[in-house]
Amino acid sequence: MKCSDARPLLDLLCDGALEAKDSALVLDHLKSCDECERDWNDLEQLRSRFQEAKENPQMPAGLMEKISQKLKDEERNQQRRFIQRFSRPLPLMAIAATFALIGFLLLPWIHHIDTPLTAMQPASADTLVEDLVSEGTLEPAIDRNELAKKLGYDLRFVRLPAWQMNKLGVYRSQGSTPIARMDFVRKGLSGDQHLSCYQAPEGVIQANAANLENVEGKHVFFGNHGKFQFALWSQNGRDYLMVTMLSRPQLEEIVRGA
Amino acid sequence: MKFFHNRRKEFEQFTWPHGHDLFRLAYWRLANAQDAEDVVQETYLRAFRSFHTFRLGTNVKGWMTRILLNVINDSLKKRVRDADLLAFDDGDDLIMSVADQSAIARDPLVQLSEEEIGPDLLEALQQLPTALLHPLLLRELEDMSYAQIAEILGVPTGTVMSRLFRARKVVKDRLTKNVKGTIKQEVADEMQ
Repeated sequence: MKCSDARPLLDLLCDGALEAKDSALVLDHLKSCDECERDWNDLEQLRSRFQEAKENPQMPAGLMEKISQKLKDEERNQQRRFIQRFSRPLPLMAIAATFALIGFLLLPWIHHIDTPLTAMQPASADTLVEDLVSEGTLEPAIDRNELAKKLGYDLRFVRLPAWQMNKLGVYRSQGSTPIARMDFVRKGLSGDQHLSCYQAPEGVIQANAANLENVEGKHVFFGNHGKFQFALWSQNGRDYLMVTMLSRPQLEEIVRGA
Repeated sequence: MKFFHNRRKEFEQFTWPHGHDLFRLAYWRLANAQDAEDVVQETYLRAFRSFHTFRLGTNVKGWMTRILLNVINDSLKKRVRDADLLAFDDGDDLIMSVADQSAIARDPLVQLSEEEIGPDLLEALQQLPTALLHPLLLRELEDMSYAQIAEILGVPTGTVMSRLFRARKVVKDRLTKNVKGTIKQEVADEMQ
């Protein structure tokens, strides 16, 4: 082996990275070459210097404790950041929850104002007719203003010429939807004639088994229940149910003029 | 918050055994005990913060060493910036030796470390550019294989071998010159 071949391999020999066969060749060369042997000895000396130096320095006392403390601080910071990250949306959530609670508490009032009137509890025309004679179902009102307050919606009147209102109140027996009831009277040939008129937001009063007819552009359900005739139609955003013991043509005439 | 506590405990179990080796490497790299202590602390903090990226079963010491060398590089760059010297450029890494960097911020502790390590060896190492010094320190102090050094430094194994060869040559030459210089000085002293 030549020097030029051996010298690059000295480092590998020093690091134990040479195969046994190559190591033997290099070691043989070192026995016969003073210059390469000197390089090898320098390398070995350097290695031993590093081996000695490895003993220094000793780690400062308390370094790992300091590090441990820093890690604990970092751990606390991470926990804080973790909590902050998830607690940041909390104020917004709290505000939203507060509004939701307020909304829930005010729901009946809001519902009273804003809910479409058609979403109110429906009432059967037949039942209304049945209850006509049951005074207990009527909560009397002094005048139209008081009635309107009790109802929660404004009253929209139809024309009923010659009829005198003698009683008014709120009908509550079906569901929670208040229905206005006004009783009218007029003088007839054979005595007083009576007409009861229910008024509710459109869609509240429903009629079953009734005949639909067109009266002056109004789609009117006519029916009878016992001795009573009734007519139900919608107008001005309101359902009107008129109940009377008059004949069907007389009722139709009333509806026509309303 | 048991999760955080367990995570820290697990981290300590993995990394604590390598504390001494990391400190020694930092000490030899920076030639300053206080600086070495600081960078080791920073290394543990960085490693803890990125512990979630550590894959179990991989070489913990190699992972920690890579972080340590990054911290040391950052620390040296900061020194240069703080000293308001010429802008440090990674491209200059090969020509910027430890001696250059140490000259920027020497303090009395350097003298102490020089005495402990051996002034001639430390001086010889200080002549080395970082690219040659790191493989030499990892090989001689940490007994790492070529492959491990290559992985830590992100260079091919052949590059590690050639850099080790060059590093040893520079250090040997430097030590030989020092010896010759010392002998010449002794002879001159005797002749006076």
